[in-house]
Amino acid sequence: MGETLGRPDRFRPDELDGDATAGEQARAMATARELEWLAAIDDVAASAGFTDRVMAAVAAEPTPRPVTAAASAARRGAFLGVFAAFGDLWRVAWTGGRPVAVRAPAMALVVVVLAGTLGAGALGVGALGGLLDRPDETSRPSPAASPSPLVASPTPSPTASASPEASDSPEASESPEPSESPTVTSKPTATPRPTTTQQPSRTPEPSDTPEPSRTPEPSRTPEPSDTPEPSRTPGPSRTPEPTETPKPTDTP
Amino acid sequence: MVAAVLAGNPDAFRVLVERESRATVRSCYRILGDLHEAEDAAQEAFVTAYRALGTWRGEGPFGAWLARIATRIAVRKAGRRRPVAWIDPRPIPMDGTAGDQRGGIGEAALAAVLGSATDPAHLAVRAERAAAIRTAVANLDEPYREVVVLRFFAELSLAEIAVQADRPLGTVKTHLHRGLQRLRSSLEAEGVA
Repeated sequence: MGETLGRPDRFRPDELDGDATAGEQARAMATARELEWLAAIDDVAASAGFTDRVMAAVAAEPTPRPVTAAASAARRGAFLGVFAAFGDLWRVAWTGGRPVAVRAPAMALVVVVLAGTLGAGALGVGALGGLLDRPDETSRPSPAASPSPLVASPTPSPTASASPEASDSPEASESPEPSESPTVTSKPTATPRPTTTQQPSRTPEPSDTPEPSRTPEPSRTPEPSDTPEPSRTPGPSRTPEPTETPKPTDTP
Repeated sequence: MVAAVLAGNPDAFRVLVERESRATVRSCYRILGDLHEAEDAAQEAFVTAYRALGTWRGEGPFGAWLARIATRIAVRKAGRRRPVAWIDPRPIPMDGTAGDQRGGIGEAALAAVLGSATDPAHLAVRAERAAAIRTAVANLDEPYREVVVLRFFAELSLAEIAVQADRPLGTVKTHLHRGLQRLRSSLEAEGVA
């Protein structure tokens, strides 16, 4: 159908790549004729006022300059747009064929951007170097034996000193407690100190195990019978009986 | 002319618009099938080209660069709308001139192609067939669609397409061949070819 159009730019078989077989070429040619037919029937022209409308739209635009394109991309915050605009600026600045009014601002902006980039890079490198130097100073002492222990010693020493303190603090807390129930643990710790010499007397303490035998006293109470052994929890509370341990101390 | 525009003379752009408007609108119309939409796309293409004129590399003719911009915009517009088969109810001018107020069809060529151009049945068949071809082209994948559109709708040579698309000529030929093959398969599936 389209073969009668006589268009100067009709599709030719040599416009296909060389790998096409005869069958493929025939199919491609038939399809090309379909497209040429469509192009022929769609041969339209713009309406009368088209140019005026385009010029009215263009009048609202700033003068086309690569610099304005870069600025608009930067205003939009489009990083890729800025990057592409800078590439265009570079090309416009260093390739010929453009008026000086276009090339000069492009060159100026390229130089400014390059200078700014290099300056920022130098500052960044300097700042990075400074940051790297500081850790070097602190790290140097650390390999050095003396400062690091000094730094480390404060923390261990407090811990070391604190450990007794900590033991003290519990003791202090236990000191009131001994009169109370916690004496179970406090007894062994508390009594040893004052009665360091009485340690022999401590042996009586194991011998005081009879005191647990006193616990039969709880057994006296029908309370255990009332409630099973759990009630013996009061038994430990009876540890006040251990407060009777003063008796052993009395014994010496 | 482009240098004059870049030098700050916007009226120089009017010359470019007057020179390229017909080809640009025609390319867009072949993709969209509607003159109003085609003029909108062409106007957007001119404004886009004006904005980017400072970055134009000057490789190849200005019209080829503008055609690539315009066809891209038209393809994008075609992809956004619902597929509609446009049938123009207006009588077709028989004087063979291209264009009335809304743009006319080259009737001499059409008559040679279709014989009886005034037959409503022929017009309906023609419109359906044209819509099917447009749809098939619009459904092509890139880069085949771009090469087919630039070659047949914008009427660029393969060398111009290679320059504008920044691809080797052999690659453009391969893309065109594969694009036509796919288009053929699509048209056969639609019962058009």
